[in-house]
Amino acid sequence: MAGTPKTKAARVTCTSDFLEAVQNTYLADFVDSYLKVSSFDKSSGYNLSHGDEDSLFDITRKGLKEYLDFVSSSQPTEYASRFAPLVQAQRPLQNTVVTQLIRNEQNKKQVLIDMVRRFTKNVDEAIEITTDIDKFYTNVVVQLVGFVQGAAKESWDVNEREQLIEKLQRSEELYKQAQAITHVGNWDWDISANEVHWTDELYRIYGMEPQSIPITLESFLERVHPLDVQAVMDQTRRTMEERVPGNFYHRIILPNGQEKILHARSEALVGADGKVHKIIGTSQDVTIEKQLERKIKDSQNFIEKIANATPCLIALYNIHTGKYEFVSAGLTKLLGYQPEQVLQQGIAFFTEKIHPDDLRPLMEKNGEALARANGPMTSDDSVIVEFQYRLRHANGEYRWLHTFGTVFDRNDQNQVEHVLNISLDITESVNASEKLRAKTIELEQSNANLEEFAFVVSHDLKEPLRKIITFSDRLSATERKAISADGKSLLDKITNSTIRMQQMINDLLSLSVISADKSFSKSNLKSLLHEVLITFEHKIEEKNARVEISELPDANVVPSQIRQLFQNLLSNAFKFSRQNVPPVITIRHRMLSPAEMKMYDASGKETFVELKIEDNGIGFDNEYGEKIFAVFQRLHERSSYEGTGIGLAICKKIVENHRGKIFAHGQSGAGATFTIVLPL
Amino acid sequence: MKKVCFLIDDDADDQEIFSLALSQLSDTYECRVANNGHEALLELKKTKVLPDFIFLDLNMPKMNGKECLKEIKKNDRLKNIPVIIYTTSSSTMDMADTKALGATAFITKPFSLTELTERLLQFFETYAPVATR
Repeated sequence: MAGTPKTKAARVTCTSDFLEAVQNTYLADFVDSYLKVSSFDKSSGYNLSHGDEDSLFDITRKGLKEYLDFVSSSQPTEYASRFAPLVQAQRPLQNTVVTQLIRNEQNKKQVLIDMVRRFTKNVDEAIEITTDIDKFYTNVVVQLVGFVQGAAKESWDVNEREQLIEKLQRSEELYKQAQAITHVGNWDWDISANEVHWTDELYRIYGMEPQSIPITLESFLERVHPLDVQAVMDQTRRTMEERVPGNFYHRIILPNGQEKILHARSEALVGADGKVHKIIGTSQDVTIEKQLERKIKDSQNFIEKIANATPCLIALYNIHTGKYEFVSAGLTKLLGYQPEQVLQQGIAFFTEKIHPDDLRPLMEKNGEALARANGPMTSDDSVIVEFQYRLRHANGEYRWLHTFGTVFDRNDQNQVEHVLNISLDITESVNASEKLRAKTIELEQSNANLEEFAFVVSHDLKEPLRKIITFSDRLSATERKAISADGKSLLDKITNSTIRMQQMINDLLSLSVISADKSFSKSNLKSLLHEVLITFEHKIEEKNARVEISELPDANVVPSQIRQLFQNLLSNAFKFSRQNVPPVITIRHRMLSPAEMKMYDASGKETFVELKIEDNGIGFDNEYGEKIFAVFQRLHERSSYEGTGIGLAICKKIVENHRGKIFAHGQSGAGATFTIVLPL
Repeated sequence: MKKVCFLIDDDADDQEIFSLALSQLSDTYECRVANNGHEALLELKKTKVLPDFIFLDLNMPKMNGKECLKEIKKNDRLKNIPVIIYTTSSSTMDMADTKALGATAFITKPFSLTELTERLLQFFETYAPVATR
């Protein structure tokens, strides 16, 4: 309780008549005895409320019983409607009584406070007086509540009273805050008087100054959205006639035209006569919530549409229950089952349909991934684990699925709770790559067969050929004199042809064994080239040729094959030199750039060197750039350039055995360039 | 005393060419032949006069060259006779295999008589210089 009347008076220095009156009469008295409002009331000429304030304040001392007696004698209607049922119902209704009392007192208090504010411009003073009024009413309420509860409890001890005061002060504060924050307004409708009372907050909800105009059922309905009026009326009628508590939503239109959505709750208060005298209720502004709800619904709808429209299976799985909480319509598209089946059966639905060979590895991998996700190291839930396995379609066929799994959420212990799985049907691509692999194997097999065939054929062909040569040789040696000149010429033709055939067979034989030789070793390309050049010394001298070589790197190669490669290319360069033009052969190299390497090795792990062997010979028409690498392909008459036409085919095979590439570029009469790309 | 060259080869033409080359080379060599490994081993076990050199073809029916070579090297009486592989093959694998089995030399059957004579001469000069003319 505040200090003495004197200090209070000293502090309040406002000169207005009202404040003086307050100072002299009301405050001084109320601090003293709480009860002399009637004199203030009369002297100021203000009617505070319904005219029963004197009696009310008496009640705080005399008790609720007297108050109730007073009401029943002075206002029998009010008593019958408001208190009689409460008194009859006794204890179960204690709380309702308390609430009702508190509300009454609060209304009165509000009127007083508003009055003080209207009379003073000094904020500090207003607050001080308001605080005193607040304390006064709190005490009044405590007394009343104490009385009501005292009906069940004889003594009303001081401690409890203090606690209740504190509690009430807090709850009063909270109540106000709560109304403002939650946008809840209270109303009650006195049916017989057709008087509607709204709390300040409800006015604010309706976009009006608090207590600015009196409200009736009609003026309330005017503010309800035209399309909702019928529903509101129906609901009110049901509450009134059938006493069904109302719990519904309706729209209202504010004076400025704004539309709001309210959540209304209502209840009928029944009098002793069994009739409904009053309807009380709350209205909460849920416009924002409804809008949010709408947005959430829209976005849920959006997500669901996406989930069900995509040609994949999306499922949300709860690890702890083993149940699925969402299964997209993709299940039907991919596997021919209904999502409801999965929702009912949980994980068992899938485990019994996974291919027996895939189940165990899948479970193991899944277990590991989960352990990792639950482990101490991971908090990154964006990790995606992938699985490939077969699942039985409703039609009995197995389909290949590729599933991407990720952590959806975690529980309080930070353990994975839900997992989101997205699965694609990759059957077609698995089949395609399976086919491709089979084809590749087949092709490799057939290549190997072909090489073996070439080897066997050429090997066995040598046998009779050798004899033809030997015996015709023998014939010309021993019987030369006996054979005519024509016969000799024919014999020479036979010998020459067989020699040629022997060369071709030898070349074929060496061509067929290239792929089988994998004896790679680190070798210096320049040294290998030098070894070959030595064999050309005579040719170089004879043709007055010039050979220019840049430094060449080391490479992992089959040395004998690279020697053969250089041998064949250099031999071509000398062979196809222009008449009377000394051959100039340059051999250069450069390392490929990472971008260029990608053309040869997608993984980008290897380094490639490019060798260019260029001559100034007769060249060739560029349109033969591909063709010249074919077996037995010749661009020239044998009479003008000897050879079997297999040299470049051998070169190509050797380069391919090194996983490299060889290209030829030429210009008729202007030289040829051979480009070789080799991994180091 | 003439040096005995024992040729084991199923090909009659090759037998003829071989003995012709040998006769052209020198008259110090005598050529004896067998048509396959099996026949050769029977002959070698029976004969009182062992050959000085064995020329062995690889591709033969009944018992091939490599099997025959193994048998020869297993036999104490025969194992010290130099065995020269005489074959159409020029495969490095055959060369390595036969060398491992104890062959002394490897001659790929050449395309002409002259060449064969030269190869034989080369061989004898390397392994039996005394015997050359």
